[in-house]
Amino acid sequence: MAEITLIINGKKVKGETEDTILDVCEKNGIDVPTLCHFKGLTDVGACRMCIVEIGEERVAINTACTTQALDGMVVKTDTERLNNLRKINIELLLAERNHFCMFCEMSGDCELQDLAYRFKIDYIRYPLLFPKLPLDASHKYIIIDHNRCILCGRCIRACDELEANHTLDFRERGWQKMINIDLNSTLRESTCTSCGSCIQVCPTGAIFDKKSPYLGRSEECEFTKTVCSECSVGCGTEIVTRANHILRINGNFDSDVSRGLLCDKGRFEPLYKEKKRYLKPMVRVNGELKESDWEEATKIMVEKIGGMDGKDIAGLVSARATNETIDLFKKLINNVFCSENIGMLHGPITTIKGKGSLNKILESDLIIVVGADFSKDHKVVRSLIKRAVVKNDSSLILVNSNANNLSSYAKLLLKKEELEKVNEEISMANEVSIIFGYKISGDVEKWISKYGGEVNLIGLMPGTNSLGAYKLGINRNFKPRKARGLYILAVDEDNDILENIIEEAKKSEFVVLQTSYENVLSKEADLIIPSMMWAERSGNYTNMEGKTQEVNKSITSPPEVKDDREIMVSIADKIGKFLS
Amino acid sequence: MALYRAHVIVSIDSFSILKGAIEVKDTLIDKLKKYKLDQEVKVLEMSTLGQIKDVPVILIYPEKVVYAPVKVEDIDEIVEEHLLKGRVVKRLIKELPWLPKKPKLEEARIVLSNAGLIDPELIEEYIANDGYVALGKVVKEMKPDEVLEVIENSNLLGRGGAAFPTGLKWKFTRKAKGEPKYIIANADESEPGTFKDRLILEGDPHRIIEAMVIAGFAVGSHIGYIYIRGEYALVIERIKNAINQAHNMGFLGENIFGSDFNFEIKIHKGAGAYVCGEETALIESIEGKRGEPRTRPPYPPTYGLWGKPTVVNNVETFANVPPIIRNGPDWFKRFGTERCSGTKVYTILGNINNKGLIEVPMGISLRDVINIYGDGIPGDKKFKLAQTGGTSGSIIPESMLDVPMDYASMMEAGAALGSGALLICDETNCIVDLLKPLTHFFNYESCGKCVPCRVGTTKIYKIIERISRGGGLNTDISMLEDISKTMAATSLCGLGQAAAVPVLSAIKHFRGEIETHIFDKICPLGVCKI
Repeated sequence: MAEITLIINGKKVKGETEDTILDVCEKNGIDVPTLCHFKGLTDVGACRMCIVEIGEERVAINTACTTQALDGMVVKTDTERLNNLRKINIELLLAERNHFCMFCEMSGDCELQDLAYRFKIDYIRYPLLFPKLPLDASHKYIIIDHNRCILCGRCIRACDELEANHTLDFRERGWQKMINIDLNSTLRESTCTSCGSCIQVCPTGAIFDKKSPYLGRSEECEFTKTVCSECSVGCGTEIVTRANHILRINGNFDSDVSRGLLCDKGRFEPLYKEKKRYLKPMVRVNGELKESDWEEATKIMVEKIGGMDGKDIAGLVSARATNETIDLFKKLINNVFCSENIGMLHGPITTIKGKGSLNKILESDLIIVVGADFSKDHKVVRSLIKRAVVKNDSSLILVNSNANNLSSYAKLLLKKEELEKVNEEISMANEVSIIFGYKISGDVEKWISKYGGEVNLIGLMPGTNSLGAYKLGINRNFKPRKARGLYILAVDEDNDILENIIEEAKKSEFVVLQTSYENVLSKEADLIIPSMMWAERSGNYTNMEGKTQEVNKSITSPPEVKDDREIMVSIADKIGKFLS
Repeated sequence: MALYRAHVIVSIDSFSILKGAIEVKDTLIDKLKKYKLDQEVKVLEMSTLGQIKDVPVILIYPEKVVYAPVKVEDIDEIVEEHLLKGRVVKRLIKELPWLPKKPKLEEARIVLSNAGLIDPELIEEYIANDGYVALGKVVKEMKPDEVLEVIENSNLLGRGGAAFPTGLKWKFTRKAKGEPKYIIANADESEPGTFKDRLILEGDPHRIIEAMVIAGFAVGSHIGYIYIRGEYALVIERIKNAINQAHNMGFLGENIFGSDFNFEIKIHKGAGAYVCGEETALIESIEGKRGEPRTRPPYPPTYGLWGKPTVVNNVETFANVPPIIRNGPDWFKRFGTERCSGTKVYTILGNINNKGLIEVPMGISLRDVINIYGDGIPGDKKFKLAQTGGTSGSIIPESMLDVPMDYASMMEAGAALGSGALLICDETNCIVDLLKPLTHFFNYESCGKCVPCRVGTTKIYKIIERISRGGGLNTDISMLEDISKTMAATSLCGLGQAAAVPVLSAIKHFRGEIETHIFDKICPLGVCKI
């Protein structure tokens, strides 16, 4: 890319050959009002806010977001004529549907409202129509209020370009134009994958989530950038909080892993889990769990577990714990309790590891998915595959995968035994991505390892930080070996993972459960130590690509709940050993 | 070959079919058989000559007598008197506008030279009238650059309304990188009051096919699309037939004229959206997407169909190409004005005696069109205004009647020639009453992609509508001006930009009349129901 020089508002500014005028303005700090433009989505030039005057003698008006910047171009962004035209267009928008701000959820955060203030609109001259349009609240998480819609098409582009699902589109034309869901369906019955990208890109109060409306404007909220702890993709998130309450989880458009995309599991489900939180240590007395305090809890811990022989103690840790916590837990079990028996709640991971990158999926002309299951987690990987197939014409081969509606995008659907058929396809392709699940058999592993070096190899991990734990040296199969003392660091792990441990827990003499919520193991636990939940933790996660990303706490924990590391250090202290 | 003593030509086009032309033709054939004249008189099917008011039309050669309008009941008389006894039926004779009373201003038919005179379903008749000569010349004797030069020198401007030089468009497309390149004929003629393309295609479909192949040769394209308005059933049928015939003759398909040049033409039916006549919306529609215009630049010559370089030309533009190639650019420049060569096909309608299609050289004044070709205004009423270029055209008062009608002069006078529809209104027509359906049309047809057009057209319609009801506000005219100017300046495509034109020109020329509606709450002509 070569450097070009433009004259914008009389000043010489620099840009690059592929830039649009808006790009050049943004790079040089020139403020151009926009509305339908959203960074990362294609520009359509629908709102006509970013109009600029181009040329000196023959002045043409065109949109900055869609016009390519050329060397020597003379551009004006802030003339009286332009501002007048912008003002009338905003006025027209305000007169189109119901834009009475005082009843709107987005009042204060609305881009249309911002523009109205910016262009000093205090009165709408044009006849107001107030068409009575429907409001779709059928979806579990999302509400679409067509009355607030300005038809900028951002949600449609996000649905199509980010999630590659194209559930949303326009229907009808002119003043009857509306956002359409599938073939005029409701959002609940539609093909919507509940990724929620539409909520995040909507500039007005037309699309919003059910959890956070009217709970706070962005100026009253705090925003914390962190990493999703629901699966091993490690999507960048932004947690919106107010007064130590989580309002909303947004995708982080600056994240190199997910680039703003999230799935329902990462965006909505964490806010919808209703579980009983442990706020104080609990001790089992005569078969009943009784509230206790930290002093007593550590004392019991030291007495019961500390008194056992190292061979009789086993430790299990959740992959939702951060690298720092897992490292300390390993040291606690190995050095303090002198046991080698330590494992992950999720079980061991595959022997071959993917070294590829998620973004390379989009560049691949052949994508092979082997033994992967996208129905519960890793849905963002599924979106990337869909995007590659739909937008970049990549071909997709599914081998023994439960790909949750991905099969309609696939060129071939194969069984595990037919794996050799893929070899020829691979030899014909330029860029190949192989994505494999965490429950693949030995011969599949062998087949994959053949291509290990040449292709973009991505291995899904059973837990959020499984690869981090593996790198810290925890991957051996956990063997209870009649463990008398079982220390489970479950953090905020879900029941479906903890269920696998019930049998082991029943066999053990003394079970210590360090967890945030009441769960299936609570019945078996002799001592429960409260632990922080995902939004309260900080540290690092290593995602399935091997990228280590920072986890930041967005809310502070309840007063009696301590950090997992602090608890482990104090247990070691009581035993009389030093743990760093 | 059989010899006939007389030929009877029946016009079969969309208008005539609606008025019973097929029944007329069938009765005629029956009657001829009954009188045992079927071996002496040949009945032929043609397209229209441009007549839309008194149809069906029957033309009898060798006498060159025109009967119109002919009803089934009249056939007996025509056959018995004229064909059997040789006596012309005087009561049915019709004088056509293209045989003008004042012979000084003759119609110059370039585009319509064959329309109504040859059988559009027979390729042989087109060939007999110099058809496919230009294509042969191009493929066999010329290089693509030479073709481009001829078209550029001819000064042919696009006839769709924007008047972009065709030669330049083709040159840009040829130079643009990207394969394959595409040629698109825009036959999605949906401008109300315009039906020239339909009559060109109904009357002379091979001409467009020939021109598209020539364009393909010049530009380096091998695939062409004709985007035909879905309602034009007869056009689609005739173009399909013409494509088949051209294939069989070797004028289409592989190795055209035995050369190594190949060209295919596909038909795409429009689904009824006005905006799809806009070239980028048309391209989107062919691609199977929502018919919404694209932002420009890039323009179709560099980024068109499927992102490849594409020529999109109006049917009338294409129709000019074969004669230009045959006769050379200098011949073409003899017609019209210095700045705009050639002829223009107009559809005249409204309060005028002779409604229909005419083709005259560029630069003829509207006054001449009305008085000579249109045969004046019925009932000797006074001329009030004309709207040129369909709904999106400007409104012209009497003071501008003498402006020469070519693209450049009209633009200087602050008007637009547009697609060539001329709507004539006399003194009994109210300006608000005229604006109401116009603005309603745009309100209905705006695609809704960009704000000024989607909301602006609605608001303009609402305001005009309330003025016509007597509910106009004092600020309404300034509001109309504000919205219209914003639409003209900031709309994404021609639809929104042009939708403002009739409103602005109506305010400019007939402000007083609109103000009477608003302030005095009366319609001076008693048309609006206040």
